[in-house]
Amino acid sequence: MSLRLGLAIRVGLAALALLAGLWWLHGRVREEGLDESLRSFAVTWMEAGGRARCEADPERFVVDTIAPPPRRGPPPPDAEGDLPWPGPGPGPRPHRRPGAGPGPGPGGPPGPPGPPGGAGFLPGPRPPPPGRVAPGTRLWAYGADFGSRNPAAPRLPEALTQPLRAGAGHAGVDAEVEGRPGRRLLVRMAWNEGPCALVLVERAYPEPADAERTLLLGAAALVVGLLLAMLIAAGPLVRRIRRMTQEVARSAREGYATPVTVEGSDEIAALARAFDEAHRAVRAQVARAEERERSLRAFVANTTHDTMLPLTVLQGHLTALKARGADGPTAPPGGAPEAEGAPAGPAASDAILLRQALEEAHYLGCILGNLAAAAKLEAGDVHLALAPVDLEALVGRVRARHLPIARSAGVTLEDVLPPEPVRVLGDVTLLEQAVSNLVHNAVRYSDPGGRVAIVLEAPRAAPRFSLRVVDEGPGLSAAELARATERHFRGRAARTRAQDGAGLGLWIARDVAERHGFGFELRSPADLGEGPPRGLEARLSGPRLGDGPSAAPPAPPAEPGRAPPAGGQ
Amino acid sequence: MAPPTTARVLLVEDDEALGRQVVMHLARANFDVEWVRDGDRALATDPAGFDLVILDLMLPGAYGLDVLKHWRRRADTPVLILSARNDTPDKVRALELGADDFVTKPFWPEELLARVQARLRRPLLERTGRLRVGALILDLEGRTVTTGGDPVPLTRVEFDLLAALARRRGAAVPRGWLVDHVLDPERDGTERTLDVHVSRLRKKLGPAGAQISTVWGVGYRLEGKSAP
Repeated sequence: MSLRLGLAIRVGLAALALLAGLWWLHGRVREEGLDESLRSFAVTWMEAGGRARCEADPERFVVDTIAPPPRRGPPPPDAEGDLPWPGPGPGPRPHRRPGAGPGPGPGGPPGPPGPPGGAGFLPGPRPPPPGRVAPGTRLWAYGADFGSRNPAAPRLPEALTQPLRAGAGHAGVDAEVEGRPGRRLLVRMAWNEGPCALVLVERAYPEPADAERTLLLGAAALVVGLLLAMLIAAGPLVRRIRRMTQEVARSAREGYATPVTVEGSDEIAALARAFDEAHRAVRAQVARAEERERSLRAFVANTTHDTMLPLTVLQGHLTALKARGADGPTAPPGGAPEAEGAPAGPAASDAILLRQALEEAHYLGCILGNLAAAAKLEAGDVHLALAPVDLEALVGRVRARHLPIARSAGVTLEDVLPPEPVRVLGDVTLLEQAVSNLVHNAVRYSDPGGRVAIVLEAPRAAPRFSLRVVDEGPGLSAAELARATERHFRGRAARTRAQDGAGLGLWIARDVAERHGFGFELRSPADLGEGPPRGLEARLSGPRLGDGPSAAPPAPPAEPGRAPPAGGQ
Repeated sequence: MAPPTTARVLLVEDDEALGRQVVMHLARANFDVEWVRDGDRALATDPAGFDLVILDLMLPGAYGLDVLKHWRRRADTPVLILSARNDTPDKVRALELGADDFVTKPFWPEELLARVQARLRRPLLERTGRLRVGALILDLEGRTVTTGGDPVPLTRVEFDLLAALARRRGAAVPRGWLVDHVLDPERDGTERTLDVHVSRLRKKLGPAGAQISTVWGVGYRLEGKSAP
């Protein structure tokens, strides 16, 4: 449904409801007006002499200006009585209809009370009529028991007697009076006794006046006019909305690359701006996702390359060993060589092959660890699972991890730890990967006979820790140091080997440190003066957790049943 | 000295190949290993009868952490977690539940062995007031040192130095820590002073002095046997 049609329907419905309400209100006002006029007429007329007339001859009492007045009765005085006539009766002259009986009210008697008693004003020397009665009015009298002495009086319906029984002063019902809609009102008189305690008065509604009719017609015309005006006024609004739709569609066709512009300062323009902002947010999101996907693809490609190399080398070594095993008696035992360790038997070249195979397997493990860490670090929102981390245990694990390879490469790997536990708040997996990368790097670039140390310190004076990994391998020049933590950086030839990794290790170490708010620095001790720098020191530092009760030595008190191993290793 | 321990180790590992390997390496290192292959059977096993438990987390039947929780209600046996999922929340939860350490796959047999031994060694250091390191015997409460039965007169600083190293025998202690904790800060508390104290200590200990080794400019270590 179009906006305009919808608007028209809604306005039409609202106007109809309004008209219906007005009509109902008009009816109520008319009804109440007539009721009030009848009541006031009945009370006034009865008090001004009507009661006397009624009580004088209750059997025949009726006032009827609907039916033609009996010929015998005296004509009503022509002059305006001294009684006020509050009713909205039209013409000033009584209007008499010929030959009409009493109103056909429910239970009413079928006909006029007969010629002799005749309807109409009572004849004879009765008290004079109390005043003029508006034409079209009929009035009957009843006793307090709701019965009338006049047999021609209509029986009172329940709808009228009930409210009066309940104490009301008067009650009215709709009724047809002489073929026209009207009201029938039962009024209790002030005296409330005798045969004329209650008065039933009935009259048709007055014909609507011309003014009234004009007003109603005017209202209807106004509603229709308003409706038309609204439809015309809605035009520009509808056009602006269409414009907006076209703009959005155009922007969508252009891949949201161009803004949605609707000039102006109204709500439609504001809507266009909101659309534009939403588009911008979506564009940024999409760009971020694309960037992430690109970097992930590059990452997977690089990592695949980096894992394929050591795997290939490993396969080569294993093939060579197998060939030698087929040739000579010095075959290593079956199963995975790296799991078996270097057997004492094989020739020196076999030992070298085995050592290299072990290193490649180790390297593969490290790359996969970095892959997992990098996946975590490259996620849109990195979530560190922070918990107290025992750095002593962490260093112990890292050393144990790299010790086999260091040994086989002839590199000494030491850990130097303070006797008290040092605990920090961190993500244990990422921190361990960072330290592991530093140690792996150090061991990897050390020459046989070289030394690597992991030094953990927690100075007494400050609540901080410092974790250093120092080696004696070829160092890095200042320029290389500056770039060392970039991804994909590789040191110069001396520090690089054919199957080197993507330089992910140091990048991860630095990134992990930064995300923890830890310091990270790399330096080549320049204490060797001339020549290329030797040795590299990677240092991680940050706040440590206080020595609260939870920082007590982690080892529980000894328990019986735990057999302590005697002696060292 | 006494032969390497025959500590009893409970291994909970569902992978046949890995389990066989671990059992082989531990047995070679003279451990008495019992191998349980699933979580439900692990739940039914009482860890109190073992010196150490190696628990894999991904198990058929009950999950490793649930097994750990169940055990921790009745026994304090050290538990070493084996995990292929290198996931921090898992580790943190395991440590909270009372695990003592973890080893992430892939690991070297030596690596696992080192962690097992480190875990078993720990209580000894904590509970004795008397330490025996190679030829040296330290009475930490009486503050006396004997080598080959002969008492060695040491100054306060020298004894504290030796005791600090002895408490972590076999492991290196940073020079900075020794300066911080052993030397008198009022007096000349520098690394150079520390070196002087160490060299005097070495001399006083005689042949046993060779047990104190220098770790490459960063620390000192007291070896169980004389350094070559």
